[in-house]
Amino acid sequence: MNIDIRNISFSYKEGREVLSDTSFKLSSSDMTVLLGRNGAGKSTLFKIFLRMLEQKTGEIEIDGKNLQVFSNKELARVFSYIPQASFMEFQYTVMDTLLMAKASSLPLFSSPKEKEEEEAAQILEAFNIKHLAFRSMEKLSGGEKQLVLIARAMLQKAAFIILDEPTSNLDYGNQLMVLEKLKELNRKGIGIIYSTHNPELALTYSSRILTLNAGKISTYSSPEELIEADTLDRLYGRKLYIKKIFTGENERYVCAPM
Amino acid sequence: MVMNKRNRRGKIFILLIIFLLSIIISFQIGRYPIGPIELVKIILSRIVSIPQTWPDQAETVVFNIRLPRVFLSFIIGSSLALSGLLLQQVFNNPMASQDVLGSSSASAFGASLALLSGAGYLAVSISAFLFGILSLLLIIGISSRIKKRDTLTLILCGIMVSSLFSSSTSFIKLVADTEDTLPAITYFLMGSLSSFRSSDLILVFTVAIIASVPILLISWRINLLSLSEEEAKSMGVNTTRLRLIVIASSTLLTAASVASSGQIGWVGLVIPHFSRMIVGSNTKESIPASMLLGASFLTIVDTIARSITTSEIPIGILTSFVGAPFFLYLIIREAKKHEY
Repeated sequence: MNIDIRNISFSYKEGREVLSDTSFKLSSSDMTVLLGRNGAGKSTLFKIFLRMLEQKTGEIEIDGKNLQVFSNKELARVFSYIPQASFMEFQYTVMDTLLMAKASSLPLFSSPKEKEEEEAAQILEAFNIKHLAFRSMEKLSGGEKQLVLIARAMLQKAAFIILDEPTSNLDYGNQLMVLEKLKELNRKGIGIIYSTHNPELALTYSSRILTLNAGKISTYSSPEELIEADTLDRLYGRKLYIKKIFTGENERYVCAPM
Repeated sequence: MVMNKRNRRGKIFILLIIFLLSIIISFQIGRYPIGPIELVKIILSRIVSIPQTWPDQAETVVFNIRLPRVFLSFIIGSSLALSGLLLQQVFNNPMASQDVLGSSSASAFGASLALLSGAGYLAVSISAFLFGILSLLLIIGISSRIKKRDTLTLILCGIMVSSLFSSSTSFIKLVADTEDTLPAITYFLMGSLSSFRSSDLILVFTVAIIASVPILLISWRINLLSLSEEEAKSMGVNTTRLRLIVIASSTLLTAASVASSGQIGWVGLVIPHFSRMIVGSNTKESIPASMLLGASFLTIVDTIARSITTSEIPIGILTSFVGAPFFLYLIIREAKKHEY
């Protein structure tokens, strides 16, 4: 699935544009990372995709069809969404939380039955967290919680999973675990779009990098391209030392302030 | 996995049995005690012919006094509990309830206003409903202007709205006729199931059915209100429509209850909590559980209210004795949750 974003602009207040006449493309074969400073408009962009906000100008087309003509249920097949902090006041079990994703495919008066539960159990199994199925969400660690939310997004069966800073509340080990899981899902054909403030992780876990600076999106198809253009220096207003290293077979990136 | 679901369903079945027991007990106890066998015989005598072994008086008590009373208490109990649970879901806040948000004070004001003008049950209900909705709109309006969405803010907004409407009710009392209307309004506000008219019973029942059936049909979907707006929308849920349905039926249930029996406080806060403790948070189960538990609770409390002393105690006084300490317990628990 391909998304074509053409000349979109958005502002919360007149004269202060968060996005200004910017164009780019997204594909579900990519693991796309979005970098930008605080308040640059990363969450705003995600909200536009989810139709929580509407762009002032420009168009978004999904496989040639305008975003605005999608029904709610059709759109739930395109994007699933994991917010930065997902907190529920009421104590739901992992299974109950997962099954909420079925709201888009079940008729109004219906509720998940054994078939849906079976499907959810299979996903938990594939994620190696089946033993958590009847644990309360409140009792899970940050990493486990994030895995459950990703599993929920999988159950929704959308082409893309959008994650707003999925690693921001996790310890380093869990950050790597979550991003590796996302990379694995991307290899299976699910489009991943996520934002982060960690350039090292962004360079390592992505196949396409977007930067959002002064309302404009720039696209880079490889970390080298991004490094060469000194984009991160300009983005964060700091001179950065970025180097590709090899850990065994794997390409990794280190980033340090100069 | 299936076990878990069966487990919850089993618990609902137990609640159903408790509910039936509470009804039987309530039928028996009162100023005119009726034995269990006698009770069964009297009820069966209406269906099959049984030789009469009981005094005519017993039959009159069962059908003309106890039956409507028990019927009313379980309708009001389940309505208040369901209404409270719905408010908690829609505000995504376990401390929300008609009493905390001020919507029962608003409904009571609406009802008093209608009583002042000498209106009948229907007009009293409509007026209670309109003011109930108005109070929730006020709460939503105020809290949407405040960025900080925490429990304390919601409770403070509720106190403000509640105080606004109870002062208005006081004003009505001030201008009401001291001989006739004032005592009626005062007793009504205390909350009691004793002053209902049988003709109102059908109306309360109809309203309760109209408001609860749609909720029972979409009971699973109400879970999605616990998610953030973005999450729910990304799952294809029409959150605005869902919220509207839930708020409308919640207000309708409270208004119908207030109009028939005054302000019976705290049922809407306490019962949903116990229900969640028993069957968990999934609304598919917590909704029927709250209705059953609310019905049993109010039936029992009403039996106590009408039999413990020689003159009947207004039931609202008794429910407050239970509810107020429970509310304090919740505040302490909530504070501990955010302490780390």
